[in-house]
Amino acid sequence: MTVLPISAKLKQFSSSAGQHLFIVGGSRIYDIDDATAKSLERALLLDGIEPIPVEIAALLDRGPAGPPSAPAGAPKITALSLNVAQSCNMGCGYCYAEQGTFGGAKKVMSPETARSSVDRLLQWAPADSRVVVAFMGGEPLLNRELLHSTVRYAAAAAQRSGHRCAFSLTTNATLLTAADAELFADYPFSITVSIDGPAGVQDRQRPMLGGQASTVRTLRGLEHLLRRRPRQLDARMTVTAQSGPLVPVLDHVLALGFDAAGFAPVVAAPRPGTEIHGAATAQFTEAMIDCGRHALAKLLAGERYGFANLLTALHELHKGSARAHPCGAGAGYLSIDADGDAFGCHRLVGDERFRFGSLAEGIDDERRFHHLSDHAVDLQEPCRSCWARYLCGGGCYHEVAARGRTHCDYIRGWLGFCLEAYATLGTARPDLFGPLPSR
Amino acid sequence: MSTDIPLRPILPRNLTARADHLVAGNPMTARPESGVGNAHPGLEFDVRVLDRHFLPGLKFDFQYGAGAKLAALVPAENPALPALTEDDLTQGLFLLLVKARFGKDPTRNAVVRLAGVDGYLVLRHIIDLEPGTRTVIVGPLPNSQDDRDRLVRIQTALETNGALPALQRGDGGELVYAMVTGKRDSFLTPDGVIDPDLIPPGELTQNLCSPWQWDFADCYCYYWASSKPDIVVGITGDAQVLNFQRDRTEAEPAKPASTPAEWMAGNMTETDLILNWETLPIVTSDREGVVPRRPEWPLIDPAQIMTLAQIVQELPSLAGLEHALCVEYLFAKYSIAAPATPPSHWRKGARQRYQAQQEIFSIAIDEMRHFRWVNEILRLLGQPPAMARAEVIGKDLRREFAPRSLKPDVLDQFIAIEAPSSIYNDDPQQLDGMYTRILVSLHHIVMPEQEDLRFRLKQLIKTIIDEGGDHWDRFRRVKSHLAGQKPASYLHQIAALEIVPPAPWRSVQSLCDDYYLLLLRALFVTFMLGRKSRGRWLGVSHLAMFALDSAATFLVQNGYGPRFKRADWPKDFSFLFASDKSDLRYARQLNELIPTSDIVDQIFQPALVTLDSLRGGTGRVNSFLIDQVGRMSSMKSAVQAALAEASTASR
Repeated sequence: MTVLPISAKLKQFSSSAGQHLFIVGGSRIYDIDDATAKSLERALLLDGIEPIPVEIAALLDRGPAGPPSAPAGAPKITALSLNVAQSCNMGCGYCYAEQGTFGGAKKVMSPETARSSVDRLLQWAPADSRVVVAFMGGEPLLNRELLHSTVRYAAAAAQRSGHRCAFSLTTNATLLTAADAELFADYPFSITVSIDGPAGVQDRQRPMLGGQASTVRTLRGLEHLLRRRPRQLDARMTVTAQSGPLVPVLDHVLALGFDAAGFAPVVAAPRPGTEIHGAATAQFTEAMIDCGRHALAKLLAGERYGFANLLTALHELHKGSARAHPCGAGAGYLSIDADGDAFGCHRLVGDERFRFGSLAEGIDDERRFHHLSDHAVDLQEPCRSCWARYLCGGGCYHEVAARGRTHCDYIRGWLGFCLEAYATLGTARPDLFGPLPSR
Repeated sequence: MSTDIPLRPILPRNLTARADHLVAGNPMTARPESGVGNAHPGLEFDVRVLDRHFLPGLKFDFQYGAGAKLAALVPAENPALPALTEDDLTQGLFLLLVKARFGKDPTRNAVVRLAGVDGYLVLRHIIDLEPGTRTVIVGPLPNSQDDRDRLVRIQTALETNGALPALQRGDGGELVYAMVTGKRDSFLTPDGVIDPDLIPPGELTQNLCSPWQWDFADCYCYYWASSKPDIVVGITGDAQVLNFQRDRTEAEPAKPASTPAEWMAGNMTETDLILNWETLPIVTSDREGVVPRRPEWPLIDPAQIMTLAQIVQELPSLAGLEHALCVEYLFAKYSIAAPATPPSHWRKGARQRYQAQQEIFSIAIDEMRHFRWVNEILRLLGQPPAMARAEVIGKDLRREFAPRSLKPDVLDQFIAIEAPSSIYNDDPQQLDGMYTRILVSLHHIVMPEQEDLRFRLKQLIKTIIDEGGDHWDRFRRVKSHLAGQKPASYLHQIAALEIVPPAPWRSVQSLCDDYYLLLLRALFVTFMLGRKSRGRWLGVSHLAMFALDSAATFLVQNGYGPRFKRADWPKDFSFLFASDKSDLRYARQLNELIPTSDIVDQIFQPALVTLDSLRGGTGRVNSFLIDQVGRMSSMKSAVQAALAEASTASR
């Protein structure tokens, strides 16, 4: 076994609150004094020559060294996404799903498949657990009737089986009606609307299938949601190489009335030209950190500001989340395509490497287990020597499978900023994190 | 880690860092005083004892919930001890303030306020003390704003090294506070062992968990002894609900407490429980026994004191009375139409009948035992067993013995006969009254050289009195169980005993008589042989009782009752009382009672004949027959085993 460099075990950083230390094992964050910070800096620079302070070595020795050890088998499935309409009424240039077809023919899910998926989910999930049924596409509202009936069916079935069932939906909102909003408010829904910014950005990046502008239609759909708010209403803003500054986009979208809004860079798209890579990655990182500072200033001023990327990171850092995988794909979460085949997640639909069975043939738990064992972050390169590995988990399976790990600098840069923001806010706005045990 | 290297300040910030910081090493429950093995109050030793001497001259008790109570003064240890007296301790003095250097900042003195802090938390501060000089303030716990203000002033004076008198008393001479200073470095000797001069042998273990001692107040872990049975609930669920910890000097509550406050109001304190544990009743068979009281001999007219000869004369009639009551109660038990096992809660009427039946049955069993104790007394006094059954019950309320169904008037008579003599009348003609008179007489009778015998006789009489003490109460409970039901609904319809039942019930009735006789014979042998019978014959009598019970139950379900036919007993047993006290006596006596195995066959013959007559009956009768044949064979084997043992003993 190779010896990891110190930089793979800890990260030193500073914030307006002083000097800090992030210990990779257990994602532990400490405050240190300037002298310790200096010693640590030297030790990191002269790894193996200059020893790290004994107190810090003691911290490294105790506590968890890595993420929770892998389970002996595949975990129980508690969330399914249903690709109810593998087609779309929009023609976004960057779409991973290629207008929902995932590169194949347009399809819609049959009511039998949807119901059977729900039945299976309730069978697989542990008794009394919370299950999530997510509706994906394409544009799921293209199969509105199925969506409505499946929600009602799942809610009733879950009540019978003693599960708590929550729903989520990702939509472009252009087809969304008052009746849809009614349904989303009546049941526990998290709605994510894909919207890329003000009309100029939105209409360029997200045209309708025939090339028409989409802003007016999206806002009309959003209007229904704002009138009859679902439990959670978020915006997902895709960033391409052509997106430009992000702070105005974020301000604009949040001002539309969303609870939170988050950016997602295009890393792997079927059509060239939109992907962010090379020099654009550094620009994107800068733009994200600009948004982060903008949000930080608002939060320090005592305001609410739903920059989802930052809030999620702060929450995870506070908890000290340490994960062996990037997400729950293939673990507690599977995605069912229109034909009833089961894939790791909605982005992996059609990718045979991440196919784990089907409703008809059942789920291959051994394959899921091997998927999880093979993708443990400590086995990945260059992850295993990266300080951010347990925060990142190794990167999106879809993106890594398509392009490799090309965005590590962005992830480290962004998380570095988030660590600073956490330390700053932890001192200035401890109320954001709830009561803390003593230190 | 050597302490001369300055420690770097590293403070945990997020949740995992904080958790890691707190739980590094052993979990916090592994503090010495957190383990039930070491404290609360300890299974192997009590760790609190080590630190109770933290200040020379004073000894504290770290009490759960209360604080550190000043337990003793040791003036020899500390010449600077202010003028505290043992009397002051009775006020209840606690550790209020400590000024010393603590581990978390050993460079300077700090004042810690410990008034009102749980004793185990106080202990953590004391364990954290650095070696050296400490100053403490002891006094009563503050219970008014003035007290609290005073404590703040004292604390300020300690913190600022202000002038503070070493001791202050109130107008009545009561202690307000005392300040004590001393120096203690360790409770260990230089060799690292616990200093025997400071903590003498035995002190570490003087206060361990012992059931029914302080541990049930101090226990932290729900150790069984701490879970004293607050509530006594009978097997049927609602027979008796009582707070075990209630103060028994007060009247028993009419209904169980329904609020916590009501519950607590009637409680003894933990201290009272320890000091007066002997007043707590013993719970057996789901029922609280009689509360034992300090024996106080009643004032009795000297003319009422019986001689031993008078007692001997009285005992056979008492035995006869117990015998007669036992049979009457048994018959009453059989007359109740109740299920064999406790019915579910929603069958209220059936439950009440079941409870009433069980209650009477337990009283009948008590009477049977009394019958045995009286015969035991007779045996100890060299008298033959009294097997006969009284024909007349009561002296004031004379009535003929008669097995009767439990109609309301019959129940009232039972209540009357079992009434404590002081309630019904003062004349010791009541059962209870006669036993009391015998007991008092035995207390006064002079029996030189026979103290041991007198002691045993008194114990037996006392047992009868104690066991009979709550019969009156229990019969009244039977009445309340049956209060809502009509006799026609709770009683079996049983034909008069004079009516000869048709077959096969005639045979079942005879079988009951056969069993009754077998039972009495087995008891007779037991009474004759005493302890030498090693319980063998008592075992036979038990088998006969169960067989009788099953046969009588079957019979009443079919409209007829067991007759309990009277048996004749020889009047003269003198031939059995040889002067021989050797080990052979048992075998010899048995041999005289049952000289040949033919006799055994003779004993069982009538019952076997009766059983035979039941053959070829209906399904229910046939199952009954099969069951009874099995019982008979067990009884026979038991008798044969007893005889075989006797024959071995005689060789």
